[in-house]
Amino acid sequence: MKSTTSKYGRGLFPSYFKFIGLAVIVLSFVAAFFIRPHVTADQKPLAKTITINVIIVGLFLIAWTRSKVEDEMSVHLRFQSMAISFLFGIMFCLFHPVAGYFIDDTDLDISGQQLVMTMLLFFIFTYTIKRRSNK
Amino acid sequence: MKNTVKVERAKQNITQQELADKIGVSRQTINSVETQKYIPSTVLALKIAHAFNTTVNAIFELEDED
Repeated sequence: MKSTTSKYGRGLFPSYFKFIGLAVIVLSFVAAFFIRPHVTADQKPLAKTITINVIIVGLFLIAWTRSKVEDEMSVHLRFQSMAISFLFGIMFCLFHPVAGYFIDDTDLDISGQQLVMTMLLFFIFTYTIKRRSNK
Repeated sequence: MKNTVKVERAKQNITQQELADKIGVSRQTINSVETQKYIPSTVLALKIAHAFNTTVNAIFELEDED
């Protein structure tokens, strides 16, 4: 009988990309640590943006990687996790400024980077938990 | 939806992994179908039935709440 793995994994990166994603995140932290003393005050926002963007790329690689056996249930769990992380993103947008107001945080806005990173982290967390609970 | 996948598997003395390999899904998927956590698609139900040389109706049965 023909395997359904290739059909369901279409459009996703091969499973070894998980390690590439992890390596990208670790390298971005290491690079940030070593570059920090050499960065001037003017360059700080740019350095911060680049670091966060690289972390987002790493998280995206992990999130967009197929499982070893990608079948219809993994697609189902993936969609469920995406829906949950989307809802979490909306809640985060709504409640972050409220929480910031109560803890006297002057910056009540959230950036696109913050939102995307939170949603990606939440997606990876939810998908992993869901897959493990189906063992 | 009830199913007798576990019973059929026991009759044929095959493991979840062997059945999963036969139909090209993960062992977790077979486990979720057996424990009724996941309702398979028509294609997967047909594949499971085919693996046991039987029909879908013989393995899967609707319950009152379905």
